[in-house]
Amino acid sequence: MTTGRAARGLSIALIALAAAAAVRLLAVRTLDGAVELGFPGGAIGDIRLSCVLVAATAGGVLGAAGWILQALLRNPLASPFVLGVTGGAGTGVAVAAVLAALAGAAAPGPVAMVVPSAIGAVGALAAVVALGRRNGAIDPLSLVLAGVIVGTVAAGLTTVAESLLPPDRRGLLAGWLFGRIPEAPDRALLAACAAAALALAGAGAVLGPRLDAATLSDDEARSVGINLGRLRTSLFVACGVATAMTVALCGPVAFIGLVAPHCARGLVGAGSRAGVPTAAACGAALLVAADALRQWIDLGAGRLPLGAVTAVLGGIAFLVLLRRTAAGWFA
Amino acid sequence: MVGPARSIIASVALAAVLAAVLGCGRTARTSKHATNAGPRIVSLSPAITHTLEALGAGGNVVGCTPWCGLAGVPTVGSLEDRNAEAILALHPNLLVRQGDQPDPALDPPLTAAGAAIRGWRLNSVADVLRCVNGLGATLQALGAPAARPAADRIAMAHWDAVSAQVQTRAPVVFLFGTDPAAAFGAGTYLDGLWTAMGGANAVTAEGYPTLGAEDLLRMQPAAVVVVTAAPVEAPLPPWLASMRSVHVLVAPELLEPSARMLVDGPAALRRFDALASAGASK
Amino acid sequence: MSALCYESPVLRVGGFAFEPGEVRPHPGRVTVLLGPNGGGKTTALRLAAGLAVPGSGRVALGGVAVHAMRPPERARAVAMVVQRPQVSAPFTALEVVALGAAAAGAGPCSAGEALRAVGLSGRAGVPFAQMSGGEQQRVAVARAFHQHRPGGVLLLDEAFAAVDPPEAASIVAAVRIRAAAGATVLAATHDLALASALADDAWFVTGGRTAAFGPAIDLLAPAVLGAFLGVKVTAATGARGPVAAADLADRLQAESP
Repeated sequence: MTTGRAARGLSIALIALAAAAAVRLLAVRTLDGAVELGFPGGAIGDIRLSCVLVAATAGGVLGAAGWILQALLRNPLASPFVLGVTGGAGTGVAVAAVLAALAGAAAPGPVAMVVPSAIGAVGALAAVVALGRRNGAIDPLSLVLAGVIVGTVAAGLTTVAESLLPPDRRGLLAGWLFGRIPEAPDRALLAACAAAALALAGAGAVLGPRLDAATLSDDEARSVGINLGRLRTSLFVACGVATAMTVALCGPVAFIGLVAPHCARGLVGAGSRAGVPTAAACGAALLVAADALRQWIDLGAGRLPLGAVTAVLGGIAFLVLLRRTAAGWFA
Repeated sequence: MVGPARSIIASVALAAVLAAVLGCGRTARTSKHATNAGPRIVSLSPAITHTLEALGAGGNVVGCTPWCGLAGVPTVGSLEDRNAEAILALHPNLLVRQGDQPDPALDPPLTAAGAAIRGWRLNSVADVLRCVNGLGATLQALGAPAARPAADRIAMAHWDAVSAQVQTRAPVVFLFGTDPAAAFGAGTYLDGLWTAMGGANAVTAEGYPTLGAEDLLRMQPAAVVVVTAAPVEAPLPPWLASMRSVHVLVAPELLEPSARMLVDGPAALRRFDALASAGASK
Repeated sequence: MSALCYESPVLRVGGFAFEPGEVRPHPGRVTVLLGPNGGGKTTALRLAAGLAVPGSGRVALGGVAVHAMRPPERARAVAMVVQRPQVSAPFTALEVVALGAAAAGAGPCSAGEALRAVGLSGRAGVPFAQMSGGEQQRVAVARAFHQHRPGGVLLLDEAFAAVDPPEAASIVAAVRIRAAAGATVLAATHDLALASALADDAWFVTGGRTAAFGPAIDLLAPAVLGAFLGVKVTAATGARGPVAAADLADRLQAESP
């Protein structure tokens, strides 16, 4: 994998991001079926710009974290949500909704959901990192098992909380679980997520070779000079916190963290130095494109939830990619 | 041979004692609520419960959902997760719920015990009127004669309330959620009230569509009305607050397809209409 | 030239105790580790690589305990080929070899040269996952060559088990070159013929203890080797000296019905 190929691949990803952003900013199909082209300016223009920023940021974090986790966990099916972050965030949101209902307060809107979802996400991450240890050090298999356990328990708690919600408020939680691009995001949170995306991409570029060496067996990685314990702990925590922030901003958006790394691998090969930034760019492009696609689909019930679009498209894309790259993964 | 036989007899005896104790408790509870003669109603819908109260049959409700707001009445779950055993143990002679889907687990034993089961769709004004009239007739047949005239009075009050026309004729959007924006679409009960009073609904899609902020801004409605049950402390999203004419209407009677909505809903809408035509915007 | 020294390390894992005592493999010479499975050959190599930490005693390199060195520094001094190389990402053979420099930086032998030394220069772009077991082993050896510095330690754990004789021969030659340049080489193997070709010294390990350590000329003599391994050993005359082979005919005859 040469520097030329890396530069070309990253450029393609960035061009795709720009193209998706252009579509989102300039083209939409209104609810009465008409097609509108051109940048509207004013309040609508501001909303579109904000949506592109949010989608690019969230997609960037999910893509970069997805690549890093697939390398550290030695598993092409790993995604940022394997760390139990989504489950914890969902529980936080459900508990907040129940508390609001019990107190007779209004249902919490997306901005009010940020803090509870962040608390739940970080709590779940701490539990997963604490449980996913063997002989004191984080072990990939134990971590995945811990993630499944914590995720399952969190899902159970979410269901319990849900059952305590009055019927007219249940739809809000279900809506959150699909993920959405908030049209009026919390500015501080958005800035923090953008910083997280850049930090992860940068960490990937700097730690690239070490991350690659971590895909060898434990003994081989250590014999090559990698401090596996420190690398795993620091990157798992970084990915977990960044994902928690993204989930607080947009809810759990499915599939981006799983598919973007595979797209990036197709563009720049398996090396992480170019791979992590490219995965961030691919994730951003995918999420902006999904949001743009939402503006064109009209099934008669208003706009579709974002998570539905990413799940369907992401699932199809993933099948196609896996068939193409399977030869390189498995003997 | 002796040992196992003895332990089997002991377990059976223990089970019998437990059953007797529990059975006693249950009979006590049911007899406490058999105060009114006449209908014994289990309601799986808070809206229908409130309609029953408006018909004067609130005291006949022996089982309801946790959100019906009836003190002292045992809860039996809601439509999706109703506790069939608890419902049957209350020996109701009427079960009311929203929707016309049969419940294969609950309906047969209830019908076998002689209870009537009634379900109504509660989407449009016509649906709710049908529910009110249907309840009036059913309750009368079950020994509550006052329900029929009460139902008629509700219907007349409703027609009275919607007869005076509003001044705001330009299309208006009514939201029950702000982020995402969830609107009352065509054919819903609020749409029915507003159009009966001469108004126009800017949202032509049916049901309760979710609108993007952009869609709402593009619609350029004459006004956006956010209907809430309680005064809202949290600020509106900035893109919503910046729209030409936004009103927050505190009207819990508009958020429930019940008799109260039929009778008091139009007055709440008129409150908004007065503000809108006075040119004020909150 | 830093000397590798086993200073009576004791490692207990489960019910097994590894106590080799004082052993000093010589720099510039290839020491072959021989012994039954489970006797401690891999443990000896893992201790030298700092992958296992002894409960008492230590393995020192130039006077510094190996397990106490910082990982990149240790990787510059010690390069290891494990028994079963595994790669969990779709890297090509060349990329896998380049991983040897991930933390330690590259040694004087480039990744391309290392692949040439193991006879795989034509397969540099092939995905590692699609290679045969023998080829994958050779890639792992190439990675160790890429990581290795002159005068450092080279550890080979059953590195030739799946490799065909012609390729094994070229790897042996490459190892000998590095030994001649001052490397301390420890190689564990079951292959007696290979041991004879490779060894300057022999280290017999069984039951976690050192049974013998000395020049190959003495220890790989048929009688001595046969007594240690418990089978009859014959020796053909090779270019460098006797080439040992286990003669199982006696055993088979004794055990046939």
